[in-house]
Amino acid sequence: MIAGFERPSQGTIRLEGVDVTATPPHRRNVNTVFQHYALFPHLSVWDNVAFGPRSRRLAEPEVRRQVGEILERVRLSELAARRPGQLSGGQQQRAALARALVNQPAALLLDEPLSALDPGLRSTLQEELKRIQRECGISFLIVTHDQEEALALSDRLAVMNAGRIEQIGPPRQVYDAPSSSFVARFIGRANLLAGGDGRSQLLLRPEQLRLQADPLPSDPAEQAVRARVTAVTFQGPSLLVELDAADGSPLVVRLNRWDAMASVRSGESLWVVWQTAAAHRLTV
Amino acid sequence: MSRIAARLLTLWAGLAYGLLFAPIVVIVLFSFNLPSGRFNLIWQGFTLENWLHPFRDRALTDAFLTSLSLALAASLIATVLGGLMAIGLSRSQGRAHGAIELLLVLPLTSPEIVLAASLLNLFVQINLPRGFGTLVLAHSLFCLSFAALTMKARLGGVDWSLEAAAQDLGATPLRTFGQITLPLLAPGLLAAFLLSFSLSLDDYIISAFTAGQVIVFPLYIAGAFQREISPQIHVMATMVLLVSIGLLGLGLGSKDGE
Repeated sequence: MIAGFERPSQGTIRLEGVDVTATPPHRRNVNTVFQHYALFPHLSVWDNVAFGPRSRRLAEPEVRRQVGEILERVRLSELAARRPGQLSGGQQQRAALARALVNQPAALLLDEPLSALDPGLRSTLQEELKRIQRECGISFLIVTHDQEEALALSDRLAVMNAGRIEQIGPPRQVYDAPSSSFVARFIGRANLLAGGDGRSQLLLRPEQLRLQADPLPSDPAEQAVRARVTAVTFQGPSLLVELDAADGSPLVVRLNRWDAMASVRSGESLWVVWQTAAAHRLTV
Repeated sequence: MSRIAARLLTLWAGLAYGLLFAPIVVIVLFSFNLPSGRFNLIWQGFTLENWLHPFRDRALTDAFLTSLSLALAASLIATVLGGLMAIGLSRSQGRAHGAIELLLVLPLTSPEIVLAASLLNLFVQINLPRGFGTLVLAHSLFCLSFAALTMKARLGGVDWSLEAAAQDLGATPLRTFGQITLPLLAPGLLAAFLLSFSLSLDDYIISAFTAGQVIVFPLYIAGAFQREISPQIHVMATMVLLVSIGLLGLGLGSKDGE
């Protein structure tokens, strides 16, 4: 709808203050990086990138200048003569980015831009994407299903559920103070405990919890529940411990690999402890 | 498999291919024959005379040219209409889908003689004089099915999001069609055109029923057995063969290049 391929059934879309609801895609100052890039297979990288400027009937010297500049920026100058089929996944992604950015759109849409790449390349390109965004100063609107990617890339993060925005804000705020249990569960792992008053829940992230064998020492700033370990998953730098609390509710705790309790086994009964002040209260 | 069995298999395959290609070899060979009578059927001696004067046989040349222009007209019509049909079919999910596809396949599966007879019947009924016009109509009709189905098969691999990408980059619908859609369709269109062309060029049955007084290449050759078989027939047949081999080589070559 933002790119103009679908019409909203109601409401308006404004771009830089102008109503563009009825504007067809080829007259909108918005460009898209498609999920599978949609690079034109019969054109070279250079001609792919030049497609937008030529559509706008810019003079050929100006086209050459703009295309050369943007290819420099995404570091593809050497590969300009190649066809998309001769590029690696990461290079294709950068070519698609250049093809969209060369038009200096008011906003750039990216539809799961990194989902087609293998995980190792993904984190490199996340950095690359941020660098290019900072250099161009163009707003990027990124759609992703990868929560970690969303947290890592965004300045503002919107969580959508069934077509409605549940929450919008800086990533830290969305993670630490979600507005609903849906957001809390969607972004990262969440432990939701009864709030005690029947109308609220307490959110605790797995890394805010710790395990100990003895009952709680008399520290008034902390709380604890007794729970039994059901599964331990080794994840490299950390361990994910799943437990059942005494009242039956599931809990998940993330431990540093070198934590004193890292040797915990499934079936053991332990105490799960947290700082009372760390819990975020959600009203149901 | 033992060595003897392997040799026998090779021999068998050689025989099969030999039998398959022997008639074609004979045609090529006899284009260099120096016939004594009116029938170029017995080897007399080698000459380049036939190749130096390939168009000496006036009636044959006329028939050949008629066939070429007929094939050109029919395959152009069939490729354009068939291409549009295929695009329409691949983009819509209408309820008429199945019915249209059945109608497309029907001319391929029904005997050619049925189509030929019913076309003649139709032309007589509506009092349309038989001639080049009816030939073009009839040939376009049976080529249409082949062209549409060839295109449809090729369209399966076309990524339509490229059109969205072109529009997103500011291309008008016309520019999108010219710069993106058409190049994407080009291989399929070419395949449909070449197939239609060769089908039209060698069609006998439908031409025999719808040609009227016009004589096309296959009709001429069939008739030649009663009058005269000039070596020029062999020359032209060899030319057609060479063009086919050339196109095939071109197709294989471009596939290797990708």
